[in-house]
Amino acid sequence: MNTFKNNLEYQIKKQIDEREITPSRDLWSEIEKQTQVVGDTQTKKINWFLVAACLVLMISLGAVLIFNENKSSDIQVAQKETVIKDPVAKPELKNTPEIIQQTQERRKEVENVASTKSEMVSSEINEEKQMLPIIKENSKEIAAQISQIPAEKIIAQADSAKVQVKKKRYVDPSTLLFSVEHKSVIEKSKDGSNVAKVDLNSN
Amino acid sequence: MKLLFNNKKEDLLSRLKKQDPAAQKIFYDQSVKKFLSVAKSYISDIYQAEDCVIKAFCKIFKHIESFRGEGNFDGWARKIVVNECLNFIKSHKTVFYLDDVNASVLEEIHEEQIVFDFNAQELLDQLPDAYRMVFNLYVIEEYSHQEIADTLNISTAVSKTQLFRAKEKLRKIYFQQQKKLKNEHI
Repeated sequence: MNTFKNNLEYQIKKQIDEREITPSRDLWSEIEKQTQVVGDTQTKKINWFLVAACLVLMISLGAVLIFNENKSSDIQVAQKETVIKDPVAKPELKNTPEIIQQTQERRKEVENVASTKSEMVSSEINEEKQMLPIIKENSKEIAAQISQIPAEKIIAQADSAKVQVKKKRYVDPSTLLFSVEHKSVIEKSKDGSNVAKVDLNSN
Repeated sequence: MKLLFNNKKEDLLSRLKKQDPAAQKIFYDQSVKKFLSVAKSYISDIYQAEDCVIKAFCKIFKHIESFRGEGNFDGWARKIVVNECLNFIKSHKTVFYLDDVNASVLEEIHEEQIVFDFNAQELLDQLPDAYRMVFNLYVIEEYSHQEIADTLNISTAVSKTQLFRAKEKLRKIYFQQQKKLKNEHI
């Protein structure tokens, strides 16, 4: 009589396994809410990580860009000096014979007194002459480089380049005359300083 | 047909692992009644049992990646429901495990003629929590005494005594109910 199937425990197990209980309320909506909350917290965590990663990226990118800009601007200015020489040098190319003539005339006027200075000037002119053909030879390449560089940058940096060219190549006739006239005083003050004391009342 | 069913289950499982809400709803619809039945066998109050089921579903969806497909997914999910119920009882109630049962008494139990027109839930609801947990784990979930001991942090001896006492109590309750029914008929 005391078989396993007649056993009370077996009957309890059978009843529990076979039965199904319908929920008294909407459990799914609560599960959905809880799973969404879990999902939101997870996304919040991910978002924080994303924000942190983005910040680090932005800072590093910004730093890299700033440093690169500084470097590239230095390089471009250096290039521009050579590049901008071409448009500036072209008019000079036309004027160089005039300058030579002028200097030669002044040389005649000053006679042989300004021989040292005129030699320096002529040597400078010779240097220019030597450089100008090189610019001519490279003019196509330089023109190509100019076309690659944005117009804004060229305009912005052309002025500074022009000033440098003037400093180098422009010889003021009055200063040249002045230096020739007061050669003796200038020579006396050649002790390393650029200051020469000239007594204007002596003449 | 069985292969098709298995494929459907595998598909549902893969979708559940991708946190697909539609798949979660399908799984919920398929198993909520069964899970609530399991929870109710541990917890008498239906609302508390439902709360446990809600928590269990959330855990299943959250930790589904930890299911490696080595066993039955339904069994894995059912285990989560059972554990959730046990945790609820442990956290909300003080459970006393009574020890020291005479071994001779264990053998004195005799199954009598039982008329199986009884409500199992009514019997279980009258059991103390300690008896009920051990009885359910042993009889319904088919745990060994060692597994029960590990799950409830008790010794195997305590598990055995709790089971014995649970069976004894169930019989008493059952026969009391039967007597009542007989008296009502008379």
